[in-house]
Amino acid sequence: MSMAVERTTLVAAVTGFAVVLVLNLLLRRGARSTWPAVSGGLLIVLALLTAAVAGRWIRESQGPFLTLYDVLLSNLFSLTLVYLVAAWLVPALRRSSSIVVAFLGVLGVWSLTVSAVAVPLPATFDNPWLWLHVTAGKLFLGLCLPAAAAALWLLARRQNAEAEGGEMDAAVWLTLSLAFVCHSFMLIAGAIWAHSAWGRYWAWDSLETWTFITWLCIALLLHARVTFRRMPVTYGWSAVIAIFGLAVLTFLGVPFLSVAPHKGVM
Amino acid sequence: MILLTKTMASLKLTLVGLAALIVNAFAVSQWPDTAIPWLVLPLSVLAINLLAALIVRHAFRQQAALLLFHIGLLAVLLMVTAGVLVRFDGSVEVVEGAAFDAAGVTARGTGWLHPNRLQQVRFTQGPMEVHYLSGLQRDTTHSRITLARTDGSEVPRDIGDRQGFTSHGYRFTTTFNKGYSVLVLWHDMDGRQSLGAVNFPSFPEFDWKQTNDWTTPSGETLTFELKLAERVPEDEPWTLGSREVSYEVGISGSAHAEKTIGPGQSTTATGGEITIVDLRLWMGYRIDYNPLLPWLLTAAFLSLGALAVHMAQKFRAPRAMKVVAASGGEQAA
Repeated sequence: MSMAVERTTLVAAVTGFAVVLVLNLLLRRGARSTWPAVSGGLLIVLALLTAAVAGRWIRESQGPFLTLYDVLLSNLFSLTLVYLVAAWLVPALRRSSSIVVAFLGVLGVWSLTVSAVAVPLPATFDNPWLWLHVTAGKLFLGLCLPAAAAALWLLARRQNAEAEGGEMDAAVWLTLSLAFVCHSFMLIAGAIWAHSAWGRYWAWDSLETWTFITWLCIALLLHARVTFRRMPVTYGWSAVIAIFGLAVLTFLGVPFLSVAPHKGVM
Repeated sequence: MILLTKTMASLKLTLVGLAALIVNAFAVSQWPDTAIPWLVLPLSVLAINLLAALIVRHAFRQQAALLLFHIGLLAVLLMVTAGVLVRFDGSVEVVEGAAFDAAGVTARGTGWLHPNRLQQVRFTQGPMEVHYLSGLQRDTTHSRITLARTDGSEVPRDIGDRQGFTSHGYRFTTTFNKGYSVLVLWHDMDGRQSLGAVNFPSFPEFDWKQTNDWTTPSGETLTFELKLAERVPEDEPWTLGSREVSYEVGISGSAHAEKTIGPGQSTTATGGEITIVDLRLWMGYRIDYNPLLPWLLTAAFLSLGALAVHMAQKFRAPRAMKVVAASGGEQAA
């Protein structure tokens, strides 16, 4: 797949997000079930994203790991896939689909504005633990997104949340807890990979530090929930949204703002 | 005593410890050299808090997976602490054809309880090559060494980007740091000879300043400048090696104007004569020592597995989710 075809496919996928979002809002106004249309639309978008990622992968002979474009493109794929699976398994997560699709659309537009030129993967980076590390990271972010979207949905309807939000509240904590497990594995796999790539397992570079801080924040939130059982539920939902924001900044901001060796080096 | 233990087991203290750790982790990222002082206090508080909870909280002990996860965290903390105490982190430059010399190692961090056995490491640097892609993107590194075993036998090893070697517990890995080195032969007025090597700065990163000082056995400090006949091609693949490289060396000192000589040629200096013998490469190795890493990894995976089992038990059935939802909170963290 040429670069032009890849970009066209990505444009089609981003347009697909917009169509799914509009469709979702229109159908919801008519009080009809939106999930068949939303999931169908997202499956088509996922197919386009799969084609774009696979085409780039084959053309560049390396996985999408290094540049901001690589990370955005691969995250669009993984976030969509994880959300579809999560919403299939936990139907309560379907209610906040418009928030998820809107976020994916913003991410898609962002991906269209950054340079798509590939950077060769340094030989020291090419290790099976990199794959496990990155996969765990994508699962973590992929699970955080529906958790945060459901929390935002609940916050927006906090007057009725007591009546209609019980299952969704449980879904928020389920997905965040699973995200915590994935995050823990990401840290371990990343340490093994870093030891192989740079001869040290931890060095407090910006990405490592903020990833660890994100992990600590989730641990803090899970403990706070047990400690303050009578805490208003809105506090917990707000905290989940804040953690997702922190995770997005960590994964999509810190590596590209710092000079950490997580980026390619000469 | 029981009251104190109960106080120390408080979940509120856990929150304080975690919050302090978050703040201090940020501080460490700003001042990485001061990591230990920043982390000792919150980690100690959390460890004591957890130990106290293990003693006084019966419900905590009854949840096997959750208990194992937290014990695993304690083991990770213990292994990290022990690793910091015995670790060694350093670097060394070894020239092609030369033997590793522990005296040339630069230590970046040495634990208080580190058993210094670097002198026992024996290896000789063989030929090396570093391949570059177009645009001077570093690709693969190949370094051949001959490792001397404790029984006196020698083993050739090919190492590189994903393959280091370990000797006496010290792990050696190649780095991006490598460059040229000229072998120089010094003849003094009495006919004595000695061989030395002048390592130039990392190449091609510092191709614009290939100079270094060398002090002769007579005590004169001379500046050597490596002058390569060809520039590094930036728009095509290229290999850094020491064979078939055309070069000259400019030598100057406070008492001498610069003189440029090629391989096999000589120039006079105070108290003797310098002959350029050969051009070699030097490889910069990272050295790390931490025998507890396998145990740290085991503890981390054990802890992770227990966490996964705990989460699976907690959310395994829709019925459980409904119970959690109905109670408005979870039974345990």
